[in-house]
Amino acid sequence: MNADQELQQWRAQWQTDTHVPAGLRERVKRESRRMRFMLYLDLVITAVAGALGTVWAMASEQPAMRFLAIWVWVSLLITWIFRFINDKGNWSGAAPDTEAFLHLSLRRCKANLRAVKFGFILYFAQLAIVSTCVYWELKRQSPTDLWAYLTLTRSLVVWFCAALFLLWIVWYARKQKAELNYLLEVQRDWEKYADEWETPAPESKKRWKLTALLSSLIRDHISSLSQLEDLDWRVRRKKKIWKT
Amino acid sequence: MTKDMPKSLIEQRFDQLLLREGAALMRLAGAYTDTRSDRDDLFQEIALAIWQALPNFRGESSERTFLFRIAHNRSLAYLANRRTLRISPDEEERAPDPRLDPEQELLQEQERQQLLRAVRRLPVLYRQVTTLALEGLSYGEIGEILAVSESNVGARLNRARQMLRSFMEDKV
Repeated sequence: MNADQELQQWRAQWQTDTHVPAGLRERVKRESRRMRFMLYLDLVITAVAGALGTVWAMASEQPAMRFLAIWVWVSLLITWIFRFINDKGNWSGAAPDTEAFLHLSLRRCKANLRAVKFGFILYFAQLAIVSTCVYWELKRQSPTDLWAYLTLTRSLVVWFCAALFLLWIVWYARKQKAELNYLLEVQRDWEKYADEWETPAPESKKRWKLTALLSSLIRDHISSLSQLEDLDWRVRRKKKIWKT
Repeated sequence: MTKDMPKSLIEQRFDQLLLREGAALMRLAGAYTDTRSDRDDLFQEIALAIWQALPNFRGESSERTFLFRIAHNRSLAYLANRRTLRISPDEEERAPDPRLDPEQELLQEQERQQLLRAVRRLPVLYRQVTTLALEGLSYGEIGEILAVSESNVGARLNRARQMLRSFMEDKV
């Protein structure tokens, strides 16, 4: 059997499976709605947290609570700024092909890992500031022992939630690291085989490539590490396109 | 097709595409997953990605290229996201083909399962090119989907076939 016949035979075997699940469109629409809801949820949480903080501060009229309300708005602002910077350029790939998608997935994965670190720092900073403010306010009203405050039922609930959050964040970071390692492995293979199998570019094209490479380096804004990384990828991609 | 297109028309287009290529996309999902439920999950993720990308499809490539590109990208993300290795993957159940007698049906199913297991053992780069070739896409179309040259597709497919052959001889 020659190679073409073999492929034809495999193709026939492969295509015998014609099963397609029913009611797919409705499930897809439902999932799409859910994703849109999750997107809006961030905005709702921001508005609710900000409004609650402000109302609480206005109602209590205590300096510590006012400070907390300001802190809530500041932390929300910091979160949104971080999110905007961290997610910049991660919404869609440079091109619709698999290589561009791979690059985008890597960027998203690295962004998620940065978000994990940011979330960890912000959550525990938040916890420390809020606990200190509440303790300070309680102490101002009546003498309160620190140990008694830390072991109050509501404090214990907070510590329990913090521990749960810590566990979740460790699990999520490990998952993201595994995903990143896998994607890096695929990218390494991709580049290795792409270089092995492509025909080398002629000398004249190589010179042109160098000029284009330099102009592309000047053109791009090198302001952050992620941009540098992106630039490196784009240069490698351009080189590959010229080769083909 | 643009974003201005009415939703009903997008729904109609989506249904047509899934009707025509649904089985191929399902087979592709099967090559990246171990169990039937995982395959259904991945297929749904692919369908969702197609649903979201459909309003932006302007016909720069063929619809088939567009669909398989999305499917492969989703599959790659799925692999990275849920890499759970199972020692003994579920055998897939399939509705019997009324045109075949039970013995012939069983033989056909065994051959398909053997091929599917061999395809699943291929490294991702080879699996991509193999699943596309098994769906009957040309080297040009595969190259367009994966952003590699036709010579690269040929080289990958050649190597993938050697590996497939050896995996199938293993009878694993």
